[in-house]
Amino acid sequence: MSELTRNDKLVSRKFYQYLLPSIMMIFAMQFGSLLDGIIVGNFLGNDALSATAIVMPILYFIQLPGFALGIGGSIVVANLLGKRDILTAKKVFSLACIIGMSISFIFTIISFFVCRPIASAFSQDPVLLEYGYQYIFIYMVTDPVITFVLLMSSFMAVDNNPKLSSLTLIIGNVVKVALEVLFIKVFNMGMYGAAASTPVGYFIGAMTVFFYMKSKKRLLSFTFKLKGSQIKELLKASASNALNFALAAVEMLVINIFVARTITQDLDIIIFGLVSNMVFVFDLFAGGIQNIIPTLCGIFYGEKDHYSLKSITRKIYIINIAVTVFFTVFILALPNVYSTIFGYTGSTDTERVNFMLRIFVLAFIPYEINKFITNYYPSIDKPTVSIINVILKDLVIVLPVALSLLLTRGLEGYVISQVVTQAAAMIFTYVIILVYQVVKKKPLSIFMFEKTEFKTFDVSLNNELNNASEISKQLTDFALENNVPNRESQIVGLASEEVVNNIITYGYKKNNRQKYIDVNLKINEDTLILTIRDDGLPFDPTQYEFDDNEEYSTSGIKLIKSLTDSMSYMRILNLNNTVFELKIKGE
Amino acid sequence: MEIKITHADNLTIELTGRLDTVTSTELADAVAKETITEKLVIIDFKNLEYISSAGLRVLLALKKQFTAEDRDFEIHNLNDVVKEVFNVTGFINILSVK
Repeated sequence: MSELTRNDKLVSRKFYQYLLPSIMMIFAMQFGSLLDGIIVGNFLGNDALSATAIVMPILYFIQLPGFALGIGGSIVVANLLGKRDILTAKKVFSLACIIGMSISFIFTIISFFVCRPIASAFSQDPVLLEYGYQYIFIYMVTDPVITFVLLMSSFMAVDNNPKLSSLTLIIGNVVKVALEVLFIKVFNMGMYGAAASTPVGYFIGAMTVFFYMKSKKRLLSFTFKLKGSQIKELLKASASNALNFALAAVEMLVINIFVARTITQDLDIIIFGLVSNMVFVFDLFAGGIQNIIPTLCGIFYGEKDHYSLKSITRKIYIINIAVTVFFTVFILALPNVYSTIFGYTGSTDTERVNFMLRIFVLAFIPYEINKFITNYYPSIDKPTVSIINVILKDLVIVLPVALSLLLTRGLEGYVISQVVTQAAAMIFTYVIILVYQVVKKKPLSIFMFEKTEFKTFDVSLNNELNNASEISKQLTDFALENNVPNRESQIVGLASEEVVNNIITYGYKKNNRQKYIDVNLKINEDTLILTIRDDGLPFDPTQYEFDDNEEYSTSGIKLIKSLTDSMSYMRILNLNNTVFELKIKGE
Repeated sequence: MEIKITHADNLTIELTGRLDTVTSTELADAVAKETITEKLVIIDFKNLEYISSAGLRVLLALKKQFTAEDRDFEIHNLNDVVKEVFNVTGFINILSVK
């Protein structure tokens, strides 16, 4: 039998199982917004549509607690689940819910006082002001519903329920669109109806939470035993996303004001609409890819499973870049196809439209990499990198460059500024990462992968029964080679054989496909930690009932439970994770 | 795993290596092929490094077989780790260990 090696087949299957619902979810959300605009524009008129566009930055702020604490909280929870610290994970989950919901209830209370002044700050036109007021009032007063859905959707994904998580927002957005038509056309509710369709739709989407509460796979539950240190962790992980949202809103606000003042030609207004929608169309398809970063990278980082972290991170990065390159090449080659889809059929000045679209699309690769930076680094406990990138991207570079180019060169300046600023933020961030690694004498890696600090034996097996014997033998040999005493070396080997045998015989019994099992042994100074992971039928060996009065036992599970210092189990990423700890006592 | 079977006054089965998921069936097959006439069957664990529950199950099956055939069955020379396995599983009580 040859040496066993590690592969990513088991975790890759999980990657695709998480990717598809995520893409569908983001598609539903983006498509919901797109239809929202079309419905408002067609049924309520252009003034109503303009009003929603003008107050959009306020909606960013209203949804900020749900998005930022949902993503930040799920990152911390993912790290903790990876470390098998379920108790602290529950506390962080509870804390994120308490803080998020408290802020949203404050929004509800203040909505009765602040919405009209805010709306009037955005527009002096009485028609637009009234529309704007109605829109933000409904969103603000119902913010607890939206915040609840956003929070729960993030936590359900990280807590073994990615499909329920996606279903929440898919149902929410489908119902929202249906209700929007109903509220406006049948009940004549006008702008109130257009806005109210979102919280009502989301409320119906939130019915999935009942299924989550009943899910046997659920690990998280509410607790009030909270600690201050968890607030710090939570806020640290949420900061970059919160900042990103807030600064994006500010950027949108400032740019919109200046664009409205600077760009006056009809053609340029059309082009501005075309390039703005391009981001939207792109995110429709690509947004879901990065959405799985907090869950997958967060858990693998917490587990210190460097192999899976590297494999999945590279996969996300490559797929992301490939999709972006495809989109970029498409626009570069066929800009007129895109502009025709969006209704621009003007025969004059086609060259100018195409030129602008071609320049603008060059911003997409750095744009997508910057988005990756925002999502990825907090997941591996390096939130500062993301915060630096967000500040560079939205505050230090974008605003001054965009505004100066916009004011000096008009729309062309704005389009160029997007490329320059996205690229500059990306390059500066990577330079900062590399300088940090050189100064700290860390291995050079744009993903900031760390070297494992343990002696590690890391392999993957397929479901052939002789592998149960082989893993045991190779694990024992590895432990002996690393000066682990004979007793402990034999026992970790035994634990691996018993569990792997059990998985192949029972867990994978009903499946004829080739299946995989990941086995990892970490040798600490005085402890051995053995982790065995499989995607067979859910089986918790710690709950396995033994007859303690029997004279003898041939149960492998009972045997290894008796010989090791601890045996624990957790269902993470819909995988069985059985973990053994064995203290090295010496000969 | 190496299995050496010697017929003399007693039947002695010497095991060298590991008695695990794969090799336990080899042991069962090897014993099944033998024509046993001796009263006492000894399995010598002197060179056995390791045993798993699959190995224990084969020993239990052999014990049942030999008891039914009215033979005595002993296991000799357990190393420390194997002895610990016998202790925690209760096999030390049901098998004759020397």
